[in-house]
Amino acid sequence: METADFRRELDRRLAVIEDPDHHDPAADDLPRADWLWLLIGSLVLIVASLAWGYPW
Amino acid sequence: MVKQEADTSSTAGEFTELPVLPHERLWGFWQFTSVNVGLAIATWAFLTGGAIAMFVGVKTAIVATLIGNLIGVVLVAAATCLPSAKYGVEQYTLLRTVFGLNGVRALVAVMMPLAEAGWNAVLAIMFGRAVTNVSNAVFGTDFDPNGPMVIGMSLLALLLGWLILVRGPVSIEWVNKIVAPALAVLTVVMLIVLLAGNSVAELSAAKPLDAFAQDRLNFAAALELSFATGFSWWTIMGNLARLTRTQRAAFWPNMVGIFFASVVAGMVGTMAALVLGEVDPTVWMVPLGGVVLGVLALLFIAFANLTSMVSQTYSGGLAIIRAGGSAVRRIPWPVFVALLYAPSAIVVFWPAALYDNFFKFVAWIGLVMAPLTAVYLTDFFLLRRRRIVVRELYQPEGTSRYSFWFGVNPAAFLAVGAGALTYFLLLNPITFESDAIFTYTSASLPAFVVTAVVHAVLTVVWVRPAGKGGYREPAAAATVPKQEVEEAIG
Repeated sequence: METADFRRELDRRLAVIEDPDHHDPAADDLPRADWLWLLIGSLVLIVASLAWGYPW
Repeated sequence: MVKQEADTSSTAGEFTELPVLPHERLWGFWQFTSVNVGLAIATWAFLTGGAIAMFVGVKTAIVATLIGNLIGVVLVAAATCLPSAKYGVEQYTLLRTVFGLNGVRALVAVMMPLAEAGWNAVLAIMFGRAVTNVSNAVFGTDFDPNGPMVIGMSLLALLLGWLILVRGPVSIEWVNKIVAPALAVLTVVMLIVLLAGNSVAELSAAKPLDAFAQDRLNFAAALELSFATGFSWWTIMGNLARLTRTQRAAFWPNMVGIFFASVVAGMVGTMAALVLGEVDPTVWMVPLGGVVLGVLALLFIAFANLTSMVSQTYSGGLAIIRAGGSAVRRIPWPVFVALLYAPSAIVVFWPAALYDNFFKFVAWIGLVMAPLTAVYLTDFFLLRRRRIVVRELYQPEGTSRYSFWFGVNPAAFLAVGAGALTYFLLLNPITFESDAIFTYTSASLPAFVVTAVVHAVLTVVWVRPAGKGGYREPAAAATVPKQEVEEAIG
């Protein structure tokens, strides 16, 4: 499946990723505050929507 | 570049599997938002909106569309975007940790051609009906919406899609640069026309087109279609999100683009369907805009469907090439593309069967995608605590810590099967008949929960004790030093 070029390029990238000095900002998890805001916002939207338009 | 990609598709397919490095991450918040809006504002949003109008009026449709899309998009974005962004790895490579190396191949080999066949047939028939309606409006013809003219035009759409894709995926650029903004304008114009021609009271009073007797059941049906619309993004979002620079940039744009834009476009579709009494978007344009504007809109819809067909066939085709191995790579590109379009070319001979039952097609999507979202989310966040060793994703079966039984994780497949069965028992996508409890639970959410529980339990009591899948010794960190990795895997 893999070509020699692919393997060589993969090894180069893995070496960069595994370097102890390497830091990718995308590796930092989504902050807890974001999860909290998501939860609060979603609950507010869902409850308000249901209260307004659910066919009780 | 186009010709190169066609000629060296195998190489192109292989290199998309590589993890991206920080300097290759292209998108911040606004760039990814723009991409998401471009994806969400597509003609299928009108179709979904029209399908919801079968069951509920405007007010209930707003509630169902908001809640269903919100929950579906949040779960899909968390399951697919965050892992791919965190490790810079495309979704189907990461899914090896869930289904196993051969499990992912089997999943892609079965799922992608079926999804391609369904979506391409829907889009081709919509193209055919748009062109036919143009002919009826301009030349006074009276072609039947399910007649030979529509079938011929649908086949023409597939042929054009094949011709474009054989020459290369250039149309993918059109989608974001031309088609998506123009569709956004069309959506706004439709909204203005609808609001100008109908008072809020008139819109609120519009009756659903083909509702059940119970209002709550109608709400549940509309909610279920909205869930499925949200879950349907599972197949592509991870591959896009790996190009984002932070987890925030990977997640929140989904709420602006996929969620908000889909809701707006879907709601415009619902209102148009309710006002005009017709679920088919190709019937709306002439009554809404008059002959000139309506015909222009229809021609544009036909064009937009063509670009959507090419885009999704290209991305699905690459996934199949990656999964299919050497056997698939040996197939010449034009033949491979023709094979991708072939099932749709059969389906379009019965335009009403799929297109007029679009709501059932959406239910099938929910049946498959809700469990897939659940199994991925549970595996990554709960069982692996968000830790993946990137190097191990590329090691051979038997050597990699993500090895299972013959490259397949049966626990994940059993969990997805249990979720799909749960869905089927609650809402039968073939007949759209539902169990009594569906009114209160929907089908997607129970399917999601069952899948998550079954996968977690089977992994804890069976897969992990068997020393499979790398669950026993979680990696110390996301990007551990090479030496540490080598020690961990012995």
